[in-house]
Amino acid sequence: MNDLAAVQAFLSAAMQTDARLSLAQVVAWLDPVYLVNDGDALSSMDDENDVPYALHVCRQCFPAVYGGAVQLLRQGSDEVAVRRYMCDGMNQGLLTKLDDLEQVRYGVPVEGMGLCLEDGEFCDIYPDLAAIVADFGLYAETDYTDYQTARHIASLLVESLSGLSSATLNHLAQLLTWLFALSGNTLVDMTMEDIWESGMEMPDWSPENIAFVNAMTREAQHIIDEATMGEKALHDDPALHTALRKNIQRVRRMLSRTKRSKSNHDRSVIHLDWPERP
Amino acid sequence: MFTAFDVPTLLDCLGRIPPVELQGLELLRQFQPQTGVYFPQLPAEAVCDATIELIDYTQSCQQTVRKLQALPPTPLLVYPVLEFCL
Repeated sequence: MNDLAAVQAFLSAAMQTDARLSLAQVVAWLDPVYLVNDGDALSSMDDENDVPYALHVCRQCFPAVYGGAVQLLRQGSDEVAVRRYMCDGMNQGLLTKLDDLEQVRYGVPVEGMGLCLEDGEFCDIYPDLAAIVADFGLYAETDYTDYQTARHIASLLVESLSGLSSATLNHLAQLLTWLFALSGNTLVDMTMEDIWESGMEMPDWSPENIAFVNAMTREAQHIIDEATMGEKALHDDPALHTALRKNIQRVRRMLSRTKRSKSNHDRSVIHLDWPERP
Repeated sequence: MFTAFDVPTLLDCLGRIPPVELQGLELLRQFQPQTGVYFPQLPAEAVCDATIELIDYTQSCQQTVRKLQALPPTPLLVYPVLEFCL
């Protein structure tokens, strides 16, 4: 050992004899980001390098990932390996995954699972759903001017179905909820494009926001799983599909009458027949 | 029976509190290299718990500081504080 290294070893050993210096040494070893842990440091970070920013996020929200990443950096691991380690580690705690560490800057990732009926490719991507939407008078070749009427009809059908104890009919309600963005869950009601165009900002990184987004995603996945079951039920059960079509027409006629008489309709007078289903 | 205290006594009391035992301190004691390198080289998994504990400890200290900064005054009607007597 040369003199310089010997002095360093001596100082290091001497630090061990003082509680405060030992603590400072441990902080520098295990938690170096603490030393620059303030908003100014975060905002002035190089936009090109996501690793320091991601370290801050991990320190706050994924401390185990942070601990591992700091050690990898100390051991001289290459940046690709560190980025992959952090991305994989963070994804363990996220229902909507990060594709790359560069996404960290935009906040907690969300996934819009909504449908855009006006999208020209909707019929190609979802032919079965397009057939159901057509029952509401919305066709690919139309300009969807009747969308609001169709959505209104769907909302009355959902209201009628949701009060029933049948799981199959509840799944059908969830299908209509998904198709016409009626759930109240942003992720079910909006596509990714809607989210980007709305100017909505992703939630900031915090354990509470991660839990919130995960809960919202879990709920959205549950709704869409049930909607998928509703779609299958309609596909496999022609009598149910016929009942849906008839009820759409019933509600449409009722709305037309209400419009003509310019009176407020009383929903209690709408009588919809649904077949008995488990 | 305790009837009064002064600032040096209080400092003495606080000074007698033993240092907190953190896993990181223990790891540093055990694996401190004698080769002139400040920090041990350990696998990531080995230090994760110690890092989590250290961050928790730091946060709880910061929280305590914030609480102390916002501590309302408490009238001491029984114990005389010698430095601030009227």
